[in-house]
Amino acid sequence: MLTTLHIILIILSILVLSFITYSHKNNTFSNGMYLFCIVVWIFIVLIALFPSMTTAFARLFGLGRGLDAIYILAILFLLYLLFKLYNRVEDQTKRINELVTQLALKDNRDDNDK
Amino acid sequence: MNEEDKPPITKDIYIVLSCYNEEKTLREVVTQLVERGFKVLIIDDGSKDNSPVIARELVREYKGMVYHYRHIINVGLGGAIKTGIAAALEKGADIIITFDADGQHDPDDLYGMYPALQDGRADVVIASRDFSCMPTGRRFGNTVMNYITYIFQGKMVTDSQSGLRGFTSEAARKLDLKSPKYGISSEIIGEIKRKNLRFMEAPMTTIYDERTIQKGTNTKVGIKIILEFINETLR
Repeated sequence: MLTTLHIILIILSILVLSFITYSHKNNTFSNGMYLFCIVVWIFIVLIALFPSMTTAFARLFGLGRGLDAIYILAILFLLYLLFKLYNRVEDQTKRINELVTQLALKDNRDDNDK
Repeated sequence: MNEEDKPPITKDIYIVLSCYNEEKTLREVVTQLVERGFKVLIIDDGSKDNSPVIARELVREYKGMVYHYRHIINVGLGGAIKTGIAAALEKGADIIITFDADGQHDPDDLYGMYPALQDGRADVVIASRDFSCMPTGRRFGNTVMNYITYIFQGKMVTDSQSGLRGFTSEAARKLDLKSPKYGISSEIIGEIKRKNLRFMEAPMTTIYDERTIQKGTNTKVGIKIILEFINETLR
């Protein structure tokens, strides 16, 4: 039987899936990241529809409760996202630095042309 | 050093002078370098003090010998060195030497560096400090950094964090530098190994005072360099 939490989870998953697909179409999500997110959120929909799945899943990892397995997976996923985010910030910093270098070189060229 | 002992400058040598808030020392350092016949590229890394004004004055005073490049924001030592190398290559430099604008380097040490680059005996020359003359904390930190550089970059050198480095233009073109901040020093050591560049070390004196000690590689900077290396390794 579906509880309120299950319904909220399903609605949330559909919203996130739509957002991810929209972002992917606008090229803000890479193919790999898009596929990965789709799999994760479809998995969440399946868990909401068939909660008993988590117990079987937990047994697979040798854990007592289905919820524990989900928590552990969620933490791992968040850590992965944190790492991706950190790298993205680093990449942006490098791009800004490159821009600053090019601007400094251009300003000097312009000064010499005057 | 006596005039006759100074090795002749036969090639176009550009000094990349990275500068961040160095209004107290900039004029003196640039003057000393120009008097010795070196062309100077002042890379002002977004200074907030009077350094840009002094730099522009120096460009006017030493026309054709001093050039000023300004970063609109502060990006760090690595970014300043990258800009300096790109600028020197654009000017047609034969030899590029990085130098600090805070007055910790003795310009006479350059005489021990460029001859090997001019004569084609080396692609890269790094001046190494005498660790026995360093304050204890600084000596320990630099020794640790040498080992960290060895672990992450695969090459052991006497002074991995030296700011006094010379390159031929061919070697400078080959460098693929990514680190925006202090990690650049170790990254250069790694590039020497990866690009198979002929490397030599030269002796160097360092002028330590309260100000230069504060600015160098301290524990916090050391930890940041390690984190930068770990991140680069995991990517």
